Amino acid sequence: MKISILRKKLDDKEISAVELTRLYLDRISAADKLTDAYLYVNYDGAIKAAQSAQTIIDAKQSRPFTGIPIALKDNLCTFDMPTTCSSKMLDGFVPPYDATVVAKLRGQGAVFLGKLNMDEFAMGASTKTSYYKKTKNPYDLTRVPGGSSGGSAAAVSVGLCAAALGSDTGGSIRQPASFCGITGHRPTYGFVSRSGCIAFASSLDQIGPLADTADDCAALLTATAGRDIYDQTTADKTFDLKKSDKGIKGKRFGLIKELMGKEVDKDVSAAVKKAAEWFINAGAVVEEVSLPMLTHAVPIYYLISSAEAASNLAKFDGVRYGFRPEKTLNFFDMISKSRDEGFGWEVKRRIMLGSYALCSGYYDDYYKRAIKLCGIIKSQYAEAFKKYDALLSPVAPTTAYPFDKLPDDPAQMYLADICTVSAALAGLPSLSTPCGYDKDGMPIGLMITGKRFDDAAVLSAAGAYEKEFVRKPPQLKGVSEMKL
Amino acid sequence: MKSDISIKWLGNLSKIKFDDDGLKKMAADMQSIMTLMDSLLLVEPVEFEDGTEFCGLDALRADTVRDSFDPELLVSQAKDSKDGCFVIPKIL
Repeated sequence: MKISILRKKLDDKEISAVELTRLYLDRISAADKLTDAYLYVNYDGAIKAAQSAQTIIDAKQSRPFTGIPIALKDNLCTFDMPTTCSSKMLDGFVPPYDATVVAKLRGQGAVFLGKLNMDEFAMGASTKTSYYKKTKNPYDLTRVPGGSSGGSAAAVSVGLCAAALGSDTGGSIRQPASFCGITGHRPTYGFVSRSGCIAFASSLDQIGPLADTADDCAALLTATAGRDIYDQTTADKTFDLKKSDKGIKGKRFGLIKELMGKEVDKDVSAAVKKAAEWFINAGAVVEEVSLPMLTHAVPIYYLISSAEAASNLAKFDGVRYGFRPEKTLNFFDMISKSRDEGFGWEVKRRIMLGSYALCSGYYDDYYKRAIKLCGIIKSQYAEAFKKYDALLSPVAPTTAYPFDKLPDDPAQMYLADICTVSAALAGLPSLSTPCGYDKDGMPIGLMITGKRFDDAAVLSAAGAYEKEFVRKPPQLKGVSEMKL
Repeated sequence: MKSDISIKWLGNLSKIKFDDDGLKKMAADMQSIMTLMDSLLLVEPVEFEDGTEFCGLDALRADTVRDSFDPELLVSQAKDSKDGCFVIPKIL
């Protein structure tokens, strides 16, 4: 349900914050047996937070998220809930502090319903690499929800929270949002602090919202954006969509040629073309645009992100926190066994690739080359944005696939990230909004990518499109639509 | 993947100990992954002018003393700790 509606109902006293929280907690108890989106449900903490929120509402001092039930991807640190990154390595870990985004929402009186499943350390695109459980797609429980923020997307899709925060390193907000038929926004790199988001690849990681609408995503960006002394990449900027939204009439959009090729399913490309036609009918200009380096974006992304992951995950050594096996021979045996038994296979694969890309003799051929080619991707985007306000493309070449259709070959699996990784490499704002359904009824996402710090362009374009597009919510057996 | 790189050596570099089956499986996976990565070797990274700006990277924070965490809180998640310090197995 839209956050603006919940806000009005809370402020008008149609429902109390505690009643609203109980509604969501009851819904989680009933429906999450099917979707397995939550790793931890914050039953007592959420009720206490709702009681505090109600005193703020009663005093007529509510802020946009006072009493609003939100859920968090499990890589965002919370001092009062476990934060595991869906890894055995961090099983039972309770951080000593809140992530900056969590603290900001907590400061407004938001109610945290719990922590959501994800691919281990955000490495994956199916949520299947989680150590704990397989989250299912609410549209078809035999299919993946996407990843790595698969728990966040599934929970929002079936109404197990009003909205969620996820993180996007190479598509981890946008692809699951697309697979689960909701809106997911990766903000411009530097808009939102990553302090307290357990790092995967620091030059790419970005925290962002998953919600029912682009307006809700904009509200969450407003609440979380801004300079933070704990993240030196953050800009001293605030965000207010109302001040920036100028509609889409007369705007120019480029449809990215390299992301509309033969590898994209027919249903997906047809839905994206139909959405592009809607933009034309609404008074915008849409033209095909070519960014040739995007065809090489997947290996560029995997070399850079894995190199950074190898460095970032070096701290998991069994000493300071995290998993340590009972029996080890000596100090060095303790470190290598902690990592072998604590990390899952996909995480180990990325660390190995990162170590390879960075090792002496291969650094120039792999890591340095990838960094240079990443610069060409950025310059091709910059060139395109001289002519266009935003770029359109699919979010993924396919819709959500069955669990047993996940490719065994890791390279094939990585290639499915082709549509999302480039915007991440360039640090651009990029969003997924539903634009159709395939022959099996699975959602299709339209990706809108904008200029740096022009998040308003993608959010307002998506907002305008969403007002016309008719969504079909998932139908889970025994779970009815939420009514207040 | 370059033939002079051994998976065992890469595992040592990554501080991950694999058993024999793990080494074989990782070798096969890395072969597939590096075939994809090697596709970049055919792309010439021409010199370019990076016109994009990065925010904040030069904005260093003031070097001032601030309150920090209680050491006992920070070591509370460790497997073994004593007097606010982490305890590790003997090295020698």
